[in-house]
Amino acid sequence: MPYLVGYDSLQNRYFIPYQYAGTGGFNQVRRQMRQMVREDRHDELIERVAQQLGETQRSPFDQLERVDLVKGKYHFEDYFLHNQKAPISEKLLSTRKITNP
Amino acid sequence: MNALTQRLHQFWYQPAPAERIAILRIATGGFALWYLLSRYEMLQKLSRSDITMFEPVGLAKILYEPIAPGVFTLLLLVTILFNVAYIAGWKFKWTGPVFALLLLFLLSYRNSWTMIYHNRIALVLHVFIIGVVASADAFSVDAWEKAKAGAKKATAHWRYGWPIRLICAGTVLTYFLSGIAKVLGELAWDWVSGEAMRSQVAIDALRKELLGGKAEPLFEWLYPHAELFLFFAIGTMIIELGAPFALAGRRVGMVWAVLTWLMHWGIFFIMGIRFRHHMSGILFLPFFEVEKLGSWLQRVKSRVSKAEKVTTKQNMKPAVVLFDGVCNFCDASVRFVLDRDSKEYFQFASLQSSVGRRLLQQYQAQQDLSTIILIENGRMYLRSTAVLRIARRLDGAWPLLYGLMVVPASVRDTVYRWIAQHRYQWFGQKTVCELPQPGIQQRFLN
Repeated sequence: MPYLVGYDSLQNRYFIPYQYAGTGGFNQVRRQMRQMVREDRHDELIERVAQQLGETQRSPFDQLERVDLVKGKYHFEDYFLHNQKAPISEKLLSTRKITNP
Repeated sequence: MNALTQRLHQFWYQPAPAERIAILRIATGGFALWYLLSRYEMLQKLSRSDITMFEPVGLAKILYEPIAPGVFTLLLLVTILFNVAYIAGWKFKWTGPVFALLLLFLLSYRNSWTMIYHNRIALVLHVFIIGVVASADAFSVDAWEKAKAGAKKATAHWRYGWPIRLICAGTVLTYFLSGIAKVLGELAWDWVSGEAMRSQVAIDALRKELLGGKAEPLFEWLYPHAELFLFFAIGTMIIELGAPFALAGRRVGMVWAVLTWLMHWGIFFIMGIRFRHHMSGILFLPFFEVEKLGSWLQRVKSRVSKAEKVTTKQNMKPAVVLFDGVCNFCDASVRFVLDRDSKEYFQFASLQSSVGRRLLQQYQAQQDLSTIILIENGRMYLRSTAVLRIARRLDGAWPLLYGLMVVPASVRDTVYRWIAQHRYQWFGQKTVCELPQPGIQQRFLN
């Protein structure tokens, strides 16, 4: 599934909440993201998110320098039972620098 | 064959009291109103979002492109107005079906933006059935007007029974189809092993974490206990595939309704998904003789008030209403309450009086002439909350207004502030606080 990862100046990784990616509830925005990715509109989606993040004052998202749109694969048992939160693989779809207005 | 027809006839056309379907009208209408008001901003935002996401479904298919945001706001406001008329049962022959159509269109439009909310479908179905039948023959403005004109009170009749049966059948059918879909799916009966459910719940939890949320604490505890999902899966199948049995008898229906309601609370605690219509229990009300709840509550209330009368005769502490003493509108409101407070529950004091000021000081509140204040059971209530709590204690049908407490306080208070701001302009102002007339002086603390 596609999701968004932000990075601060120290290259710390943060998952970006769905509210920055679209309008509506959790599942609705998730579907909007999936549809945009399916239609190869990666740049449009990441541009919108980068713009929203540039305007936010919510910590820690106001400290982010870059946002990536990625698709990842996870192993449930490792993730939930062994606390191994890193993905098995992650494919970069698009990236944007975040600029504050 | 004859026996079967007779049995079906008995099933569909069982008489029910007018009050039962009227309560269902108020409950479903109340839920729809809460939904429209609480989602007011989100719905408007949605109507302004990316038009490439617009894929019309249902009644919205008549549209080639999204509605202009201004028109959508107007449509939303009109729907809210018809929603209020639906709850009140005012000119219901027209307002009922129109509201049902408006809600169907509005929610189809809402679902046209990348997501179909099946739980809203149940709400629309119920509103539609209730909206097109005689569900305003009790607890409504129409019924009140008919009674005023000398009409007899509606008695139990099959015309109030079959719509409730239809709602129950529709509800049961949705769960049954859900169960059938599982059995006909890729896993077929293997779904009952619980493994698919465990994976499904894990996918949902992972999605939440990747999109900036958090998995539910109960899920984190449950996930290592794979065997528990076997019981959950069996339970789900019993509820879904066993749903048609809920139509076999009232008691079976009630048990099924409670179990299904509990299942939705379980989904909430494990997955954090809120099926509000289901969790509130409103979806399942048609399975119960809801009109009896009122008389049960009345019995409890009369028992409590009898006990109160005995214990508080001497040291009764009624609720105190503080009002702006120089405002004509507030003065008229106090008279309105006095005329409808046969139990003499309320006492009054103007905000400008020494008693009023002392009470404000005691409750550490500032003198704000723009709000009515209610002090009840040692607590202070302001603005619309005070008004609705006062209405709750009045004679006649006024306590029904207390149902408006479901509307968020911010929305209620906006309307209240608007009226308060214009009260001098509309109703005038006095230069001094008038003394109460003899006969009601003991009700004033000034």
